[in-house]
Amino acid sequence: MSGFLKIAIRNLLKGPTTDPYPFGPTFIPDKLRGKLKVDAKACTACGTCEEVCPSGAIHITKNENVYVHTTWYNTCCFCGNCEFFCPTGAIKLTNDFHTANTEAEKFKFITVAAVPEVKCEKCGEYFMAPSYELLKRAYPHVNESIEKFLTLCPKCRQKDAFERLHK
Amino acid sequence: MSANIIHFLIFPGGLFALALGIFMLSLERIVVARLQGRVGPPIYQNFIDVVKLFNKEILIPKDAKESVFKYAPLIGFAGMLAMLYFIPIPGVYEGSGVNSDLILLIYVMALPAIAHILGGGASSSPYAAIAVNRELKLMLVYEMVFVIIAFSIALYVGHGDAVFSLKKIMQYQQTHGSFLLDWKFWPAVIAFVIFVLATLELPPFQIAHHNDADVMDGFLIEHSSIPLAIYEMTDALKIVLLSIVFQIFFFPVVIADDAMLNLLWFIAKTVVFVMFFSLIHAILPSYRIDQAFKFLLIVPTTLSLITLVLVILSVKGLI
Amino acid sequence: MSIITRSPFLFRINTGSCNGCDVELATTAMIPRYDVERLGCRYTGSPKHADILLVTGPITARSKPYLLEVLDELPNPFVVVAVGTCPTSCGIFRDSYAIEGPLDRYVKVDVNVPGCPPRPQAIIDGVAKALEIWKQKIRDMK
Repeated sequence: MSGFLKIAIRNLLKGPTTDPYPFGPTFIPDKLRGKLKVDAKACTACGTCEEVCPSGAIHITKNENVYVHTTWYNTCCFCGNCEFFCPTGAIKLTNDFHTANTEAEKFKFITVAAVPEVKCEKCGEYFMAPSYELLKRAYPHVNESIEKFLTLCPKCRQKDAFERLHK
Repeated sequence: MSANIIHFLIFPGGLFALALGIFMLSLERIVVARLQGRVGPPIYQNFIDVVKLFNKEILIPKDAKESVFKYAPLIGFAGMLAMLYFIPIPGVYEGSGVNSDLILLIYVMALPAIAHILGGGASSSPYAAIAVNRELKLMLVYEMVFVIIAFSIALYVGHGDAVFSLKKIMQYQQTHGSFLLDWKFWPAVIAFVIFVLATLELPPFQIAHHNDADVMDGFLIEHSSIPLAIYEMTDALKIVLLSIVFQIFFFPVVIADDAMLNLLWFIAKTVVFVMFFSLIHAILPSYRIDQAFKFLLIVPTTLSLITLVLVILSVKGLI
Repeated sequence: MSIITRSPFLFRINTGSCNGCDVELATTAMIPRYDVERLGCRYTGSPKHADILLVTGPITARSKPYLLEVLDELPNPFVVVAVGTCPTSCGIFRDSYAIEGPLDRYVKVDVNVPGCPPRPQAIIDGVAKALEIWKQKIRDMK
């Protein structure tokens, strides 16, 4: 009985230790796995995140010449698989924990990123270009001829490489 | 006649005691929360609880006895309300002047527990049946303690002939010194504290209801809106009545001749009384029913019997 | 009328969850750090006293009859809050043979709080939103 009496008197003297959350600031750790965000410039719509997501929250669809990357937060389980397996580092989990939503906005609680296809310089066809981050991961030194991959479609790339090597 | 109606319904009966009691219930929650390091609800929280309960739907179980289920809470409520009209408050209110208030008090103190038992027994739920069983076992033992304390005080005041009038008990203490400072009554004070813990169902005797371990809400588990609100209001009135009884039995000291100052002194004493019981609530865990029965059968009964023996010896002139 | 919504009574039921969300619900109630009693809430032991129902867990086949009984016993007006990703949309257990679907199939849910498990601050946000909806329901019932 005297064990808790000491704790009770200490609580009275020191005051309450309650986090003042709705009425004041709160403490959130930096590495908290919260809602995810996609960087559309670094994404190449490869589909790895859609493949490894255990709850099927990510969907990539094509709309004319734009790949649309949609995530539904109400079924995401905040595991971090997509961030771990993404080859370019385009998808990252922030530490935003505000996830309460009403039933009316249940199916609108999504995040959308649009990844457009690029027009080739030489032939004018649309193709899905790699992003700069993907080039940095694939090649040790990114020089000018590698940067051409960002603007030439695969067929024109082959012609360009043949000309460079056999001229 | 109209003055009696005001005494029954407004002061110190119905509205005043109800308001003070509900404030004391939420004060108890706040003190327990602060002792546990939390913030606790605001002071008017239990008012809002009772008002909200009047706005919900009443649900009656299919196998319950409907008339007993709906009207049993009124037994305790009416008993407490009536007793608050009869009982005098030291320095503020004269009381009804009936010559044997003490016997009436002993009977009426048992009424809220009987309302719990009837209401819980009429709801056809196994949790309520277990809680009623436990409440009956506890009631058997703690009523005995109260009767022995009351008789020892009555014997002492009358020098051998028992005096059952609460007004005469108060006047005896105001001329001869209050019983809290008299060494013969200290075991009775401790026994009275244990009796209050058992009758208000605070830890360590939180066995029959609001016990979050086995019987979840005890005999209240099938009640929904208005019966539940009446049980809460009965609890509030009971706290006020127990505080008045403690002050009459052991400490009826008045500080002035003015009724307003004595009223503020009475409210201050009640607040200290409730804070003391919140301290015990926050520190102790709860007993099992067999441990509680053995404890209540041995410890407070022995203490009050010691006081009875000392009173008899002093009346005979041997101490 | 708005004073009534300052004292909600909470009742929670676990329909087969992994207990992660239940631990978070227990911490919002009992530990001094995220005290829910300063908002006036109180945990009760019986659904007949409850105003807000907190459901955790995907509705497994064995717990479905108990959930339906509890939903029968709530007095009007009440609000349902789905805590965690599992009751909202079955989360990672979708298409399993033992799961009887998200909570929408049995009752009209009012607030969803996804997360695996959601932070206690997010649960307090969800309860605050539920109080607004409850106020609206009381006004509609008059």
